[in-house]
Amino acid sequence: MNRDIDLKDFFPLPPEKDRGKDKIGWFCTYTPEELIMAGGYSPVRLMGEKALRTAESYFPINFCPYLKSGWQSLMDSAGSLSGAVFTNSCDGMRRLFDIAEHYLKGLPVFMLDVPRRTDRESIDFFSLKLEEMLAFIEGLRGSTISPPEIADSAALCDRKRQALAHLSDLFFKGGRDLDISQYYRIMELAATADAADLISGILSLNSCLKQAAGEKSARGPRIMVIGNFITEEKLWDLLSEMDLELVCDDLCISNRYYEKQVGTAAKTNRKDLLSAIALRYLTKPACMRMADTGAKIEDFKQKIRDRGVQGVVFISLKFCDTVLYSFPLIRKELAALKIPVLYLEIEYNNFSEGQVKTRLQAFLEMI
Amino acid sequence: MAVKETIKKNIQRNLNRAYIRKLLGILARKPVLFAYGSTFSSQSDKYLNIFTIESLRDSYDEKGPVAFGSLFLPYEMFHALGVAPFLPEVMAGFTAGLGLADQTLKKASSSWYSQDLCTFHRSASGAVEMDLFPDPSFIVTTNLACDAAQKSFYHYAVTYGIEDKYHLLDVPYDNNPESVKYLSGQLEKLAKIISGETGSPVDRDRFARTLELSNEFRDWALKINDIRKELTRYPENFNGLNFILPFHSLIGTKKAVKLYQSIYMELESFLKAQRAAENSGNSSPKKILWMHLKPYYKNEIFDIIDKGNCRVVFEEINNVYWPRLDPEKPFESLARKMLSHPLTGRASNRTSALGKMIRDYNIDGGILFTHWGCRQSNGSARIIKDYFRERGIPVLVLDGDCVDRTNSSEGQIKTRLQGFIEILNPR
Repeated sequence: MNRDIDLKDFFPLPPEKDRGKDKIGWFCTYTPEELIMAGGYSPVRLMGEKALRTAESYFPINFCPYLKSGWQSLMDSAGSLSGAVFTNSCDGMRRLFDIAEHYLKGLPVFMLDVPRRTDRESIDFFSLKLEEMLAFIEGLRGSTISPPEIADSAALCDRKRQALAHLSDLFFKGGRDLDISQYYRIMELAATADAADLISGILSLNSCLKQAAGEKSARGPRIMVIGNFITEEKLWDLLSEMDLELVCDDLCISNRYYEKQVGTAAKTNRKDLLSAIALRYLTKPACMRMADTGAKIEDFKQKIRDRGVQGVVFISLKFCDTVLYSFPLIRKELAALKIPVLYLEIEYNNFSEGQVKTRLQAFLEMI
Repeated sequence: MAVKETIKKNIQRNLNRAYIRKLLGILARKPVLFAYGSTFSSQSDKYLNIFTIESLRDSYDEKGPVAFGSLFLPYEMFHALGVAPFLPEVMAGFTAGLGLADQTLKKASSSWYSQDLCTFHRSASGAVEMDLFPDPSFIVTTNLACDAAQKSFYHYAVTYGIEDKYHLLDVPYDNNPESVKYLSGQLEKLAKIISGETGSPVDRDRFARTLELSNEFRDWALKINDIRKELTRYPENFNGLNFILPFHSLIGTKKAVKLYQSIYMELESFLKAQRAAENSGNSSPKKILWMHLKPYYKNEIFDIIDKGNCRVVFEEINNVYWPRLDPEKPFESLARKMLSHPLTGRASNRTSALGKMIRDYNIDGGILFTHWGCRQSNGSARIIKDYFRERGIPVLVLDGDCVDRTNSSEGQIKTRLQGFIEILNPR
């Protein structure tokens, strides 16, 4: 932990109960928060409870640990939520929605169907699905959401994404004022905090970081992290302590969340706004659920070239099929570029610190 | 049995694509094929094996275009376009039956496929790495039911150097007019791409004929399913979980019609015999609905069930879930077919379909086989269990592996099955 920067100075976020707005929970980065905000609700990503109590009994043992943890969060927080939005992002998420719909009768839930393709037809189809999501939110608040409300919230989300992108740029390319743990802590906050508060905090932080900006001095091999929904603090702490330079990533809590803007300027009617939002979400950095695995691998390669990556740490939550099925090909393609890859599979609430540390050390020595 | 064991041993010893092609070439010759067919004890088994061998021979011959396809695709389209379908997931089932899965799974593991993944896909991936399959001209996949195929099949496309001929049919979550439009558009586009590649234009008449054959198949399948509402005495070795290949990849062909017609005839004769025996006072077994698939390696599961005065009278996978196809609207019809599958969308689509099966077949108990790594099915286990319990029907969730015998505990399965049978047949 970098002691020079105290995140609380920049993000003095009020406790959730004091935030004033009604909350809608969400899970996946394909959920357009702007539509939730347009309805006057506060979007809160359900990060998952680390300690499972009853959630295990609803799912098989070999099931995505984030979804089990998310289910525990949902059960625990259902009373404080006005609704929850799920996405048809993977088999696990479909089943989580089923469980929520079946066993949490009092909570309004919505399943957003997200296409796996990105062609014109898919964007048009996704726009229709966004219209359904908007209707769900309108149903919750009991009135129509106007185009300016959508445009304003999309613009606010864009500002948040720009602030996060700028912060990431400073972090990955700049000095070491912010350590890895702190960086990912902010990324987690971004998905749960009030957007305006977060933007203000990041802008203040960015201005401090700017003063120390400049390409990172060589502290060790230049590493890229690829994975899925990785929020393991102990892992970030470990990486912070090791002799390496984290120079880019591709994660659910990072670039897949903040890259690419909606850009609502000059769009004034509902259909055009939804179409712009659909385009942003289907063409943002993809989750491995999307059809075009080849394009995803090309993105990795581009980052590796641009950032001079010397090794990739590939981290997956256990039982994430779309990632696990993609890994053999990713590894093959990166091997062809002579980029070594360390493959780590982790649990959500049972991180094996010693083992991971040993493997990371051995990997870094090899590079 | 000796012939089959000899074939099995020869494949195990000569596990390579050239040998498989050679063997299929020999087996598929008419006199040999019918001699081989005659070694099966029932007509349904005989035709199942004959048509399977012919279908595989057509793929391995590579005389025409071959398309790898995942389960649940509308294979009518492949036949209408003159493309031979080849189903790696079904082949993975064969690797289990032929005792090859230990080799294919080992290869998959050494190629970085996690052991937490479904063994149907892992075994197929191992077989691709070992170059056991024919060279595909196209690879078509879908997200219908599960995520696995769309990812692993892309890897196959890269392995065969045909990434540009990989196609995903993205099946929406809901079955409604918007989804039909979105999916039928994809089907039509894909048909044009494939016909452009093969050089034969999309032939509407051929599509219509294929869809008519599919409807004919559907009629026979419904008649079979109707007979099975009463039937509890089956031909020796009959297992409804063995018909995945014809049910999916042969649909839209005369062979599929002939096979299902022959199954109907055979089961009808068994029903007559059963009715005669029932008149003489024999007791009927408890009726079990089987959900998901079964282990495809040699196992005792169904013997234990039969010996326990129980009988699997229907399998979820034999449900004719789709409406009749309109030969005049092929793409729209095939889209409707895909979207009406109970494994799309909500788990309640599946439980609704199971509920109808419970009523139609007067089910006494259900067995949900939870195949290792099948997230889409096993993730519904709790809901299915509660669905049965709410209706007062015992249900057994049986953990195991359809392909990897080393990942299933034979003793545990036996004990749990026996316990379940005791619940169904209280003393």
